[in-house]
Amino acid sequence: MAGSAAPGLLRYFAKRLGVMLLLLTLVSVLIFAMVEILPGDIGNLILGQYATAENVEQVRRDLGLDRALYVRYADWMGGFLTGNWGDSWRLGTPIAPLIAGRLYNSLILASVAFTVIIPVGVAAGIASALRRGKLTDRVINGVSVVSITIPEFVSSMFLILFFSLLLPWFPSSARIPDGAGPLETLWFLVLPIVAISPVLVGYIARTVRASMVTELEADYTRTAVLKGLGFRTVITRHVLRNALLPAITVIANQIAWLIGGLVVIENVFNYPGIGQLLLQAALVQDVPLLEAIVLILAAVLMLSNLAADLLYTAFNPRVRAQVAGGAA
Amino acid sequence: MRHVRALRHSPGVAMALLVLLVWVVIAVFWPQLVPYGPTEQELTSRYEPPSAQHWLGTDNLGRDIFSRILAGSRSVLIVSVASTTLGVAIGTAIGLCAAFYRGKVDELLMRSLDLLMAFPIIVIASVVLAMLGPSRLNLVVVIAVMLAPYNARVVRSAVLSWRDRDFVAAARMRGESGAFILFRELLPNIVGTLNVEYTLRLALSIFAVATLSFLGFGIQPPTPDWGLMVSEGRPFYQIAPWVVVAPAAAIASLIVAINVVAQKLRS
Repeated sequence: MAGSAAPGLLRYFAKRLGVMLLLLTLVSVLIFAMVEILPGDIGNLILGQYATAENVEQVRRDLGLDRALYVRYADWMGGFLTGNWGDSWRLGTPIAPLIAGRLYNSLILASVAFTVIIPVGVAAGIASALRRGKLTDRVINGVSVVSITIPEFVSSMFLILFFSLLLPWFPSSARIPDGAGPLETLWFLVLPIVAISPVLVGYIARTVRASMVTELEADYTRTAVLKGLGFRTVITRHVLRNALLPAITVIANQIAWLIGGLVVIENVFNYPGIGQLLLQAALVQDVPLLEAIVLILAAVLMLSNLAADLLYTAFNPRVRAQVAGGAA
Repeated sequence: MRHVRALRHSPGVAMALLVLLVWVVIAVFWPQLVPYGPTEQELTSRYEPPSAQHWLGTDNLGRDIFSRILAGSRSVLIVSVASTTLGVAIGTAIGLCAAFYRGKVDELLMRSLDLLMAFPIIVIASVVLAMLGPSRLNLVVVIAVMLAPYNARVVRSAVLSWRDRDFVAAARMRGESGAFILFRELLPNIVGTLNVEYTLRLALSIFAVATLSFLGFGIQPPTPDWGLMVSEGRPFYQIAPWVVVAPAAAIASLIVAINVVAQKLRS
């Protein structure tokens, strides 16, 4: 079975990868075009509004902005693909190593966040589905409704107030000192992680609860109970297997939200990640840096969605069979 | 009357409606209500903790926080209501067209929306606002564009359940135009859906407005704005926490209230 499924699966993912590359190209054209079309002269942006016309012209020539649009796009894209991402206008340093370092920091923050968020969200969803209508369910539901709605920067402020100013337990800044060990690093990340988690935990808990409730009411669950299986077996072997599948899709969809949250959290806690760099690049209008960051974020997003699809297919025999059969 | 009686059985929703009403009244009448001018600086009384003179204390320029909170309610409400209205209008138009014409139009519209929805709003906002500069109008447009796809999807699926009914066929037989059928025959049937949608999107919009103003993409100083007040007070958090806590609490109260109402409407 597995042998016959493999070519179909492979073809499916080759196709998905192709679509992804196509979309990325489209996104790159859009980013490039957007920056070009929007008003605001780049020479003036760099030199300020009191620059003389000759100086502005000189800057435009230096940056190669006097060439045709498609030539510049080809140049930019070619450089991007060969690893030459150009220099930041404001910092004057190469963009690629700058982004790599920041992206690495953000990935650390994001992966620590996900290792907290996913188990807590899934556990809360399961607990609330099993105690439907009881106090536990209502408390979890109430907390998740509130936690989904409060913006991350607002909850960060209250967290800093209580756990950094009133009770000096955690640092209010996530700027980790050089040479800090893993434990000390985690110590600095506690408040940022707690601040970014509630929204995502709330979403995951609600999805898991909803699909758990559907599966608990399904006929096969009743059959399993009636044929005398223990409660624990019914839940772990039958209900959970089906109920957790939709959670994978939801978690994948939340990656965009997580990136948005990271931008906020990194700025609140002064964490040197890509979100902080994005905001700085936007505020000082560092166009090449901004373009590169947005393109990289788009690639990261699409790759993680593809990974989630891969997981979903791997875990779901129905989809697996469909894909292998060429239906998708 | 029936609605009023229903409220007595859900005190949470009644409270939420009251909070919303209070903020709307404040947003309209704040010039009559504030004890001090919201941008009036008094450099001899900086960082004063809450007192009888300054109910919520003063900030780094000696401005009265209470007055700034009252005045700031207007900007968040105007921007979020404007962006939601624009977003829902665009979304509804797209959803109606996609569901009515189906085929290639539907496919093209929905795929473009998917692409748009794949991006975090903050990333899109960063690019647009970096190029156009931060302003209230730009904020409204960016948030409207972010909200529209969600609305379009919901409207599309609502319209799909109506488009094959007999009254639509009858309108076609009468020779009505596509626009007439869309707006006069189909639209009235999804008004209920739209009301719920509007409230849900408004809640999301307030979230986005607060966050983007906090990041510096919205209204610029010295205009009072809750999100901006939080970020302006951040450097002095240790010595004057009230500068940050008051606007943060105001945002939280507004957002929780609108969400409680939205959840109630949805169920």
